[in-house]
Amino acid sequence: MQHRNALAAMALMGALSMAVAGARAQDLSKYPDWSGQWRRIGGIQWDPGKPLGRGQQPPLMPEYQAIFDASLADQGNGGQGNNARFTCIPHGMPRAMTATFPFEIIIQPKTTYMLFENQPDRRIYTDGRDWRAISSPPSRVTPSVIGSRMAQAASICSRSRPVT
Amino acid sequence: MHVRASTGALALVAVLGLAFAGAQPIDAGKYPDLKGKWIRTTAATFDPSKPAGLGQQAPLTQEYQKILEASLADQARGGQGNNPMAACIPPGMPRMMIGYGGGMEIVTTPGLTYMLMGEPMLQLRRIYTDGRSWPENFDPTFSGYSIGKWQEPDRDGRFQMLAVETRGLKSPRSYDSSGMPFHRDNQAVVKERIFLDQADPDVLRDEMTVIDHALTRSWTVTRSYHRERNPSWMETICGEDEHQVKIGKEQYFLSGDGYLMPTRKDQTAPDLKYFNQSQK
Repeated sequence: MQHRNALAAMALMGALSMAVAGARAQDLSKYPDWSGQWRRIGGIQWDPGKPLGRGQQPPLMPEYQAIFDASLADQGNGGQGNNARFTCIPHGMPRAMTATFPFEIIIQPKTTYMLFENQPDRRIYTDGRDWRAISSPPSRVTPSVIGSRMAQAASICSRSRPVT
Repeated sequence: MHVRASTGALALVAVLGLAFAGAQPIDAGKYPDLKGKWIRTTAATFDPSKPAGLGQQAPLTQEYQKILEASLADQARGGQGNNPMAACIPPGMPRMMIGYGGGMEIVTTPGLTYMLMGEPMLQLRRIYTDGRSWPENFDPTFSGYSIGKWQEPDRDGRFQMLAVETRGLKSPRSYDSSGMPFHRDNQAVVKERIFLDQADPDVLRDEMTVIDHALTRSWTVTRSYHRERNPSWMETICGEDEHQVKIGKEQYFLSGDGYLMPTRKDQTAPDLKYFNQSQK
């Protein structure tokens, strides 16, 4: 009887430990609340602090300034210039963050997702993976419009508080 | 000794119980593990158990059966038929559950389950599981508006099935590439039971039932997906290398050297009335 009671107690302890481990792995209370819908503040231009077009004053090399000038000239003539977006090619990064339409952020322990309304979703890996591990053969990063990104949720005040 | 062992066990249970309560309310232990990439194991036909086209034996009314037959005839001549995806229009529900492209990802949170589709239109489903009622008004979308309820058939405190209903779907959509049509009234309702296979947790089943006025009865099919636990995600963009060109009702093709070309024999060129015809 004594032996059976001890075994039953141990089995219960084991089951509860597994349940606690599962619950702890999904403890999202230490992350900031970024739920809801996020809309941009300000204009759609890349640098929201400056006007569109040449007013952006992008620090371009002469070769690429010429491309930019040609794009503006074509648009002045009724064309689309260097703006692939008009063919429904996505903005990609970093232009996706100009947020033509609202987006949503989902935080999970190993990945933070950004869901856009007409862009590929962003997956921001926070599982500690290293660029070197995925940039050397045989696995390589395949270029994509939205790119590949990793982030580190670093704590500055304590182990349990991420940088906000 | 007997009393002390039992008391010790009870004390430990109490401590563990408090720790468990502290981790609430986000108790992911109740939800099935749906992480990873889900890739279809079945064909890209709506009913994966039957052949494509007329072999699907879609229970369509006579009027809509004719639309399907016209679609198939156009495809046989080189056209795209009733297949909006050829123009990069999203598949929408329920067709998106065929699982085109690079598979799908399911992200479960307490009040919402997200499905991130890897197909070239990159659609997203939001399945609201927060107990909300159907809104009085919502804008129709290709993905529709989905409300779901987690169920525990075994009553063991763990959810095993997600029952979903989707309304608010917009056109144009078809069931699959053959062009099986939906009713033009856009009143289709899709009900699903989504669950892991009991024998293999790396197999996901989606039993879908479509209720639509173009059907003579409700139509139920079951789709299956297998899991890749350490996935890498591909990006496929429909418009990036799209050679299908639709002008009016005619489907053309952009050749490898960048010229417009016909998709069927004796197809006429598009009307160029807005161009200066004297310039050649």
